[in-house]
Amino acid sequence: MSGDRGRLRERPTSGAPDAPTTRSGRSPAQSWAAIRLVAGLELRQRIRTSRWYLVLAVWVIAVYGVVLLGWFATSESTSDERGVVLYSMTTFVVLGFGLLVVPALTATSINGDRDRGVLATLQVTQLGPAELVLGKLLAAWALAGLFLLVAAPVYVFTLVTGAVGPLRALGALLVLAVCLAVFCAVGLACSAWTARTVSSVVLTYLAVAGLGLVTVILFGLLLPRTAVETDRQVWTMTDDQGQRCVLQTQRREDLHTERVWWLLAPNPFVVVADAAPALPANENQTAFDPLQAISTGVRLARIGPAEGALDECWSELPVLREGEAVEDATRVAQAGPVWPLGLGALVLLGVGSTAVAIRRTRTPVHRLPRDVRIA
Amino acid sequence: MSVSTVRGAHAADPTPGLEAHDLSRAFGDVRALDHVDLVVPRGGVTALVGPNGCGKTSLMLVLASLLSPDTGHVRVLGVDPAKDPRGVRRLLGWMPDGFGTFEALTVREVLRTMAGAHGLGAGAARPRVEELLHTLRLDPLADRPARVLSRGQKQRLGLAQAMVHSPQVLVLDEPASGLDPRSRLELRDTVRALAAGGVTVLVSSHILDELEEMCDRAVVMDAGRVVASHDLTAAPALLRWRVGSLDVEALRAVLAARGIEATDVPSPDGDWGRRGALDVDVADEADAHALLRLLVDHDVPVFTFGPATTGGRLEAMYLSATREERS
Ligand SMILES: Nc1ncnc2c1ncn2[C@@H]1O[C@H](COP(=O)(O)OP(=O)(O)OP(=O)(O)O)[C@@H](O)[C@H]1O
Ligand SMILES: [Mg+2]
Repeated sequence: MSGDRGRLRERPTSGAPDAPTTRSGRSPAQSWAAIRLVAGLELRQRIRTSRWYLVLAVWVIAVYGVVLLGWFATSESTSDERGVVLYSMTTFVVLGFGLLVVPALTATSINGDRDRGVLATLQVTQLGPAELVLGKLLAAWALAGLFLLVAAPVYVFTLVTGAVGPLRALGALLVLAVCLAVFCAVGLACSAWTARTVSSVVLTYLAVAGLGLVTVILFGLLLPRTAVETDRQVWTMTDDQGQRCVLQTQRREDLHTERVWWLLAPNPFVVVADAAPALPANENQTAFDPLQAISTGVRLARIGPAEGALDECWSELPVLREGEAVEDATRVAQAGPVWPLGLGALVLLGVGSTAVAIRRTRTPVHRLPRDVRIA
Repeated sequence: MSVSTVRGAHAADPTPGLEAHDLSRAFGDVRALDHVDLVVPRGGVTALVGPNGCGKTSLMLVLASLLSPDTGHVRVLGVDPAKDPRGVRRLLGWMPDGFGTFEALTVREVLRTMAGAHGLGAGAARPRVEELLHTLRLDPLADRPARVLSRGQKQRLGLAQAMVHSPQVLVLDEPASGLDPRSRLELRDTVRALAAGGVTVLVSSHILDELEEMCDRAVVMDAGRVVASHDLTAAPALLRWRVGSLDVEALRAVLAARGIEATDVPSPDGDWGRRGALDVDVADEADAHALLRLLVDHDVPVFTFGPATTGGRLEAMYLSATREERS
């Protein structure tokens, strides 16, 4: 060092001697470069330190294990049916495992950096809080994208066999990508909100499980409370005149699902299922498509109980009532899609979470979390 | 810009390197900073000393635009971090106490990342990083992961990180802790060279001898307040002298007769008998000589006579400033 005094002396003159007193703005190009820098740093750190390839291997095994099960289960079916089943299963497996794996990518991102003493080092540079948070989000999303990519061959297969149209396959991938980004953002918000990494991991999983499970549980719990007793016209079988289907008036409980359906809307499974365009109506199509089942269920829940007479003859024979009961299919078509609302809610959650994370990484800090040292 | 113009600039420009006015910050019920007023002139090295937990790190966090005060404000070369944190960060380099680093990256990658984070383009960053690696003797470690560095090596990397954007103000929190003797000397030389180039340096440490060789000024903090501020280049105001006598009462009587104030030095365990020692403040060495003559003239059996502290002036100043606080 001593030999280099001269070099050091020439250096510290880069800034303006008359110090700037205005707030220094950043051009979009500078911000984008900063975000890329943070994302690159995150990715390099993560790829070199963690056993990410193990996680990836487990992921591949999980996804293709399920796909293989589906393959064997549909060995009797036509290739179209097989395609539909594989498509639905893959989408669900990716979303389900994504719900488990992806929050871990960001759940300790900010408070973990603070614990390791590297957050403040970055905060005293030109990097703004938004650039830091968005860079971390981008890195986590890129890794989540890698998980999605693993599943892509299955979609290609279903495309090639013609079971699923390109729009449907692409739609599912896009909505999945958005859902994963939202999970990443929720993790970031939790890691910025709580000081301890243990708490933020728990919080993140609670939040994500809340979306995936608690919405359904709440819906189930609240459903009985929507019951209203009314007189309904019901087609029932009568024994007296030899198995005839007749119209009677009975006192019935109607479940007014239209009051609680919105609980299901932000559920990622519902969003993904409902966003996938419906399969073309096809008489030969007998495969059970869980995506379509969920979609139909939610759309029906949204419009509530049917107005007309109920059909409880359960008869396959053409009966007298024909034309009087309202078909579910028409009602679903009337209900319209649910996913734009659900996706909107999820995106709002993601944007809100990101905003919280940015607010909580802003410096200089006014209010510190209890017992947190900056350095 | 050459060295002389920088010096000229700061000689003419009255804006201090660092200032703090009426700065307070509490963490819960702990008053980490309690109405701190501080002015660090531009250029030169200022030491920040004080007992553990007196608020040095907190003050540095406020200066480094990381922590906002409850009351008061700071300025870094005239820029307020509350209003323009980016402006402050351009001007200031901060080396945290006991920092972590990006463990998976190599030393060179860490410095390049930090240069990028400060907004240096790849073209400017590369030569700057190589230069820092060289001046801080990190080049043999450049391609090793930061994880494997020893504590002292990490400290050197931390200093390089703080200097990567060639800041005009450096805030170093205990940079010498964990450094070997040779690295300490080099740190001193580096800091002095930077100061000679017009950089304002604020450095905290508990190793006072070392600060004394490095610093022009010293600020002593205690319990969140600035309790003393001294120019180390000027002659000291008072020196504390220790007088040991075989008959401490005779010594005390002579001093009392002349109205010279003295403080008792607590005797270590064991029976000292009539022996004892008193501390006396003297203006300078000539004054000390006069005192010795007085004592000898009065036949006081003096057996030790010298500066009260084995350390230097900074230590004496530190002890007297913090002792006043305690009492
Ligand atoms: N985030 C925090 N939450 C609560 N108390 C804090 C926090 N940060 C600092 N303190 C308290 O504020 C006081 C000042 O701490 P600070 O770190 O500034 O001391 P210091 O002078 O740097 O000490 P040392 O010489 O040991 O490094 C201490 O009593 C400390 O316990
Ligand atoms: Mg400290």
